[in-house]
Amino acid sequence: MLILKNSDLPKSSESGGALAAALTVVATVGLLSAMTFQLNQSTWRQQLAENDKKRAFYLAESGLAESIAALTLGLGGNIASREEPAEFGEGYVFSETLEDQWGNLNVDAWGISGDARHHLSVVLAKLYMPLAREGFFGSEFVTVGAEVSLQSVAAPGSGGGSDSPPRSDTNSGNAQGPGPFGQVSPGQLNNGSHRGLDEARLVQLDNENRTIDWFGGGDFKLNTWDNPEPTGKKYADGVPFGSGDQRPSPPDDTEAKLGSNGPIQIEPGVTTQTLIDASVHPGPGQVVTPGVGVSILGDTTPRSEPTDLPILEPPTLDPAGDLTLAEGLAQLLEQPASEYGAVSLTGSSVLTIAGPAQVVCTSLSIGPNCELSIDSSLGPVEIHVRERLILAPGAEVISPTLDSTGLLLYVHGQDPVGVAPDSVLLRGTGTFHGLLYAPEANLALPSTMAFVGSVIGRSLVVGPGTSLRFDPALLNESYSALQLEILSWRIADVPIEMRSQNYNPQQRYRDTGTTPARLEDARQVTEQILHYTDADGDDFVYRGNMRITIPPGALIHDDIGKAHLAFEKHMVAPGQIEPLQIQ
Amino acid sequence: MRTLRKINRRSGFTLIEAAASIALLAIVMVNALTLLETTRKNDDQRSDKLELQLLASQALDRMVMALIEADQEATLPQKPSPFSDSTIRYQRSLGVENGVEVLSEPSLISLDSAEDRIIWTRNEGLTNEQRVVWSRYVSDFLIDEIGMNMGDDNGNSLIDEEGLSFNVEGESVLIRLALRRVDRFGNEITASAETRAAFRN
Repeated sequence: MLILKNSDLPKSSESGGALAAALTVVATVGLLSAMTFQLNQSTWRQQLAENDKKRAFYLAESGLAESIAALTLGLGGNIASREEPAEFGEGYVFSETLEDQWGNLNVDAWGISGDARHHLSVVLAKLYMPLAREGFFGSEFVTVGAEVSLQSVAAPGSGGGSDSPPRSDTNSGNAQGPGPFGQVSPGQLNNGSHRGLDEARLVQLDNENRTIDWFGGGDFKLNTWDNPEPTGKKYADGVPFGSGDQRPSPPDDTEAKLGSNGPIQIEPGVTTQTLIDASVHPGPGQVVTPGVGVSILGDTTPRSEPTDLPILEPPTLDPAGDLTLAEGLAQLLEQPASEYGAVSLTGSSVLTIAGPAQVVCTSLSIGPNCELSIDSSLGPVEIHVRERLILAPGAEVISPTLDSTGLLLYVHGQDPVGVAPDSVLLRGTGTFHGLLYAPEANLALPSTMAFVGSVIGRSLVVGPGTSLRFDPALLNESYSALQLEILSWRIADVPIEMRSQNYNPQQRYRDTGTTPARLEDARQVTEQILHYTDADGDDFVYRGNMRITIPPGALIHDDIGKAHLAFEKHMVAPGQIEPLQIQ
Repeated sequence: MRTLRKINRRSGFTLIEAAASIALLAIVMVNALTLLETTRKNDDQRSDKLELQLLASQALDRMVMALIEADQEATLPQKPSPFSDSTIRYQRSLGVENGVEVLSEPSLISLDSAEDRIIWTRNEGLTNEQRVVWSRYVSDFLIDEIGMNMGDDNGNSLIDEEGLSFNVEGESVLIRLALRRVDRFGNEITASAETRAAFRN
């Protein structure tokens, strides 16, 4: 039996008081720690928000820079999309580019970092640089064969371009049209009717009070043409677009030009006079050496400084392999932008390219009796040959519109120094209408061909009897991937739907298990071209392949049926656009 | 039967023990309180200084965000170094309409020397003039600049620059700002910040 005496029991100080005191202390310390933690967390959150805000700004700047870089390469300038922004650093970026009726590029870029969003907007003007300003030019030297005739299509007595159609004023720098669709307002378009969306095309306008073949149906009538000034042709689908008011007027100089940075030699005629109705400017310190009986009607003073020919980069598109047309085949290319490997025409085949179009290929070989037909009635055709252009004997480049501005042919191949022509071999027939620009190739123009427009190469040898006619209309044509000048840079508002918590790309990517594209891989290919008029009546062109933000109330002018599926999601009815819904 | 017994050897403290304990506790408490007070004071001073620095940074950020949108040609005055301005007039780019750049109404960022404030003004002198205070506590001159002696006292290549100075150099503007105030303990505290903003337009 255990007997406990009083002295064996715990004293009052040992009956739980210490535990209570210890708990109080622990609770106090815990409370203080929690408060400190809260305070620190609040400060940390503030700092994080501040960091996110700054990061979003710089991300948006990156988006702008990426778009501008893409535009200078001739791409559309659209980077990723609002719903699938590209990943960059610790945030996301996307940008949208639209070309307005003035030819300016409106680039909007968004940066997303955490909860912060930043929106920057820039308007860029394309720097005007007519590649054809030198007329017929060989950088190293020019040799003109006997009995060559060179003059301007605008020269008196030249027939005003006898084989050219009546020209509009678009190319004379006087075009003052209100936009790509002339005086057509959205209301006018709404009041009209159209037959089939798959026929969406706007045909070439004449300078009269006219009926427009709108949507191919001819049902739209423009009875009130307020501005009687000729507006010249406008393209519904492509470049050039707008009145071009932002472009400086081209030089008021319709005189033909023959030039070089080196010497120019002109052979005398035997039976016919060699007639050079042009200014002939050799390089600095160089001379023009005319043969006996050669008539040069223009100025022959040497140029004070050499003229540098810009080396252009072909646009980057998605390659689609080789294109070979065999015996007797005919094919029509209608895509606005396409890239091939070797394009080869053999056995009297015919390849027709319908403008507006941009075609890039590694080589272009037009075999004997084959035809490359350029349909520029709806827009110009721009062909980039990366390496080699061959026109075999009997091959022909045909331009049914007889429009020099309808074909811009760039050859990017480089001939080894001091050898005969290799990158460009011209042995065809017929009349070439357009600009041939091959700054690193030696060119030999055969007497079997005539050239209307402008030809520029590293050297130029004109065969005897060849007919050359400079077309000043080309002075208004500039390369699409030239330098850009910033007209306006501003911090823009972030749309309310992007400020909401519902717009969280990171969460969305996590939920869907998808990996966002890196910024450098997110440049959109120009697969679709979409024209629309916004509620203010301003016209815009979008070039890309992903969803874009089109303001409510805008009117689309293009063939919706042909549009990318992504576009269809915005459209509830032909010509109507559903506001973008952010999920 | 077994009996448990413990001997209670001590039932309390002696007076000496208690006195010594109290004395030691007092010494520790005084030191602790002194340390706490010093820490708190330092913390407050640092907090005041940080607050002033934050104020300077915020004011600078605000000016930068306004000026990077400004049209360079519409930015005045452009006094060359070693002189500087405490006022800058500018117009922001609002975008392009009908192919032409649209500029905002004329705005002005200036130092109100009498009140030591930075004032942003839109449509100065007009009936629809707007004024907003962007910062207070602006120093008369930049840190270490004595001023009014036509000399570069602080070695920043500027002469007699005020507490807010703008130097337009090419396509950018160098903004310097110094704030000065007396904290709650009567000490003078200063904060300075500078940055360069490139005109985007």
